[in-house]
Amino acid sequence: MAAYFLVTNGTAMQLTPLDAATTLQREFLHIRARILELAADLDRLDRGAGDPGDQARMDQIAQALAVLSEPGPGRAERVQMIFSRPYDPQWKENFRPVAKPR
Amino acid sequence: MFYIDPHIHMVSRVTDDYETLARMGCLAVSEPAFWAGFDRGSVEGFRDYFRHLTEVEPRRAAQFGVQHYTWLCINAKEAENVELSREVIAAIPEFLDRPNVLGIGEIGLNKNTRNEATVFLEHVELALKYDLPILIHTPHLEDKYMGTRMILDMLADFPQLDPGRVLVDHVEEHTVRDVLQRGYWAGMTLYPVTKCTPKRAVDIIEMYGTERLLVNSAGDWGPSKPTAVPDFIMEMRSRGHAFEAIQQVVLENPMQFFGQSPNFKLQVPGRQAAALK
Repeated sequence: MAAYFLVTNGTAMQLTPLDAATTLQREFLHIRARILELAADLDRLDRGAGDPGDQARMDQIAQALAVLSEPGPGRAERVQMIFSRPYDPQWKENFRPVAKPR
Repeated sequence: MFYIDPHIHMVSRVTDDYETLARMGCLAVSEPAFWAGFDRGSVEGFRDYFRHLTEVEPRRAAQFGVQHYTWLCINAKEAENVELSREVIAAIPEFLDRPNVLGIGEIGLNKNTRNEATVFLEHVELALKYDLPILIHTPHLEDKYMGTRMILDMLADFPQLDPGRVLVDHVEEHTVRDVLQRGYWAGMTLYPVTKCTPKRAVDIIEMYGTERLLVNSAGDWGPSKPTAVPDFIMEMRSRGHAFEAIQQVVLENPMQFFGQSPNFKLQVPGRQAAALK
């Protein structure tokens, strides 16, 4: 079912005007091209001499690729979180502001 | 379609860019103070920069009918030097009566350090003292999530601060919800690689609606595109979004947020002015 939001003049607007079939038709070649770019990037990593060296980044890439195959919604947000440092709710305890000069 | 670019660093752009923006329908730009690509050595360097933002750029923009507004601060990348930062914060009031100054910004965090947090808090105190809106920079890439949460935590310690007078910029999929839910305005920066693309920005609009969301190019001296806001408009149009929805994001929302500053006096010409409520 379509979701709506209000713009400032009070008119109801459809949040996502394009239906899924139209979106697939519109995006298919772009999706194909970007998946090919990713595949070629990974092949280039394999071809390069030596070890990539940064296993943490390689793990992030693997985790992010796995997210793409998971059901939605929220894949983009989940990928963002894979590439983010976690929030430390205790951060203020280590961040006392620098005292102002008298 | 007329629009406003609410975050663009025109000191880094050539005069031809002003003409291009004008041809694309840009009525006004807002330029937050930022890092020059190197750390400035003294408070006098910042006084010269603030003169550039309040004297030179408005004249350059006016040649093409573009109105230029600005925000003043010492950027988070230079806030590691707390002593210099405090000298700059003390100098900012000298420029607050300039006619194109909207508020304090872009303040924020870069690497989420104690010194950056200290300088951020003192900028917020300055904005409150002079009753000015605030424009906030959130960190890049892997530091964005933690830094945005830290900024929101710090803002919550100022109960007298009206969230409706704060714009938290550079939001992406993992930070936009927190910002909007707490009542702040949120800006999406359209960058080729490191921030939002026009497609993802439209996706965020489709998930969160048009209220309190802005889009900007943050065009600067690095890889960036000063006409990124028209790219966003094109993406909205190609997906079938209504004129009213696009206009709200690219024109009405910046007007509403900036309108909280007494220096914002934008005139929208012609028929589009009549379309505004």
